Amino acid sequence: MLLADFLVLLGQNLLFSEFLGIPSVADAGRRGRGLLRAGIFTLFFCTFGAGFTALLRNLLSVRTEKLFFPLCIAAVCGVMDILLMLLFRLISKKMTEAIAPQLHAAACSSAVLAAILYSTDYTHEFGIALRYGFRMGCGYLLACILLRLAIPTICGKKMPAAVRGWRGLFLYCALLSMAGACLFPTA
Amino acid sequence: MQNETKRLPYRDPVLTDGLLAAPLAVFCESFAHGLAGAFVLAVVMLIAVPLTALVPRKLPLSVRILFYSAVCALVYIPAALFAATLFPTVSGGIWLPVIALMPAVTVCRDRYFGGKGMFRNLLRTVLTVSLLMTVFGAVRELLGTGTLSGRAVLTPPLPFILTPAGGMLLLCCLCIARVYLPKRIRREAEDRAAG
Repeated sequence: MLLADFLVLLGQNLLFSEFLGIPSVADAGRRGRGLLRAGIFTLFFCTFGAGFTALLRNLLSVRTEKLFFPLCIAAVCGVMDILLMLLFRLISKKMTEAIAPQLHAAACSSAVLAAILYSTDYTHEFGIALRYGFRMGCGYLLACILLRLAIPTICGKKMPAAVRGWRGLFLYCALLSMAGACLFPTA
Repeated sequence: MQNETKRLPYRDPVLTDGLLAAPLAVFCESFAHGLAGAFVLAVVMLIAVPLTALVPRKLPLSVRILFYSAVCALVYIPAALFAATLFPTVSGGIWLPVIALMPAVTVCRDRYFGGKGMFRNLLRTVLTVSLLMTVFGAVRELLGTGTLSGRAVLTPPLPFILTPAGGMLLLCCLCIARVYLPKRIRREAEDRAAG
């Protein structure tokens, strides 16, 4: 049962199915542990961003809500980014400097934007949106863990220069996406 | 001027840094989709980037990013309305907002357009990325469905290219060619000069 849930999360995640948030992953991948941090922050923004945007949806008229969603998402993620920075700064300044690039990248990630847009399309209930965003974020984090395992090989000197680094990462994601589409055609 | 023209295809955030990979690989599946994406991108970048230059650099980065994203999201509203009128057959879905709030004009805005020559960099980026999106969409439509702007040209040689993975592979091929071809051209020129 757990394995089935795990496979569904992998099949449904936005990184392998629609390549959203892939530039943030590629950028974080250059910094080793940054990839996992980016995954965790993306999970946080997907979950709470979806919840708070669903709350704001009630303030918008049905005719204009789709046009104003990006503005709501920008405001929600921007405020969460500032609050998190302040919170981390209170804990440790050194740690804040280390995590700031991944935090900002996650706040502006297209994966977060798409997860919130999908969730608000689906519901305007805070709890349901929160759960939907959490599921999307979990899929993204799992994808980051998978990519973290492959990063040393993809960025290694044995790879030809033309496909080393983020280009290799893109290629690897495309291959995983194809494999996912073949293994879970209905996911 | 000649140097600028030579460097033009090699200074865009897509092929050099991999930004906008998802809209290219998934959204630009036809010539019309590529044009619609390029239109929204051009409108948002040409209006939002000069406006965001007014945000004081003394503010912390998180606050600046909030302003950058908000300006892009505001400019997106008229751009999306115009796009819906100009391209009634193209359904924007989640993709037009993703293009409007792309990292190149939010979190990476200062890296791309922060220094001197903002307008020159902006025009060059808009030109190259819009061209890339349109050509990418047209090539994908031609290979995937055998049509060009809706007109049948040939039997579909590679229907697989219309899937997100197919688009991503095509983008990877372009990125690899961008690294490989200039080196090869330079080596051939050196060989010719030597021998």
